[in-house]
Amino acid sequence: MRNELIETERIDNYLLKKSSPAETKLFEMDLLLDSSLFEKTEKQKLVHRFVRIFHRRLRRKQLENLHHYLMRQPDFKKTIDLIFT
Amino acid sequence: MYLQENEILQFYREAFPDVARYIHRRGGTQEDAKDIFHDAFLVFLERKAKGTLAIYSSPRAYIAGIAKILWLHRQQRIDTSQLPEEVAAYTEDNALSQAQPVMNYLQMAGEKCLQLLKTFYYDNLSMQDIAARFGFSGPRSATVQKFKCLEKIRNQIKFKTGAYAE
Repeated sequence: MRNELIETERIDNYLLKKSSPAETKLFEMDLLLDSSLFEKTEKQKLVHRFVRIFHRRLRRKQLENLHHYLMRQPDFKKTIDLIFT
Repeated sequence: MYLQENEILQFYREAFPDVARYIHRRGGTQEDAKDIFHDAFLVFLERKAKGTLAIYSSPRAYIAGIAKILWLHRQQRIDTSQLPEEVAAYTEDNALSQAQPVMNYLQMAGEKCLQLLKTFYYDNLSMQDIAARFGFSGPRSATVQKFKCLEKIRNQIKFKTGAYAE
């Protein structure tokens, strides 16, 4: 694996809390000394969140479809309509 | 652990009426109930997939509890600092998604990368499973590809003063 990928892996291990306590301590020292590593770490953290957000949107669409499906079931629809009447 | 679609349907059928009753009693609409329920259900599903779900009663009660917290937060009756960690992380991500062109960053990585990243970071599958699913020769080559995808997105993000932009 090329050096940059090794660094990406190291950042990921830190963000996902997969590093040992000693590795974590060393990484945090490096973060203080290396602004480029700090910036990459912050950006990588954002990528994790972006991936989560994107797939959460897809999941939410699935739940919307599920909701519409259930609301077409007479028993379920009746239960919900009774709550709101 | 992953839930099958029929299990999700069953959970939905059982848990939604509890949340709907709660939201209705507090002046919310059916649409509010659905939105809050979806948020609570997503917190539940994500925690379950990640293996960090701590349930002391039943999944149904857990979802209802999260829904109550989310509703109180939406009504500004509880502060973000008072939210449980899993709910705070969820609401922070939602706020970020409204402020950032998330799709612009991700789409440039391509569909295969998006799926690969999803299976690891969202579905929490092992690299062994991911290698098999995507046809890589083994976990190591799947890992290398995953990091290449990650870098592709990461390198597009440019920080501005106090914020970040494309």
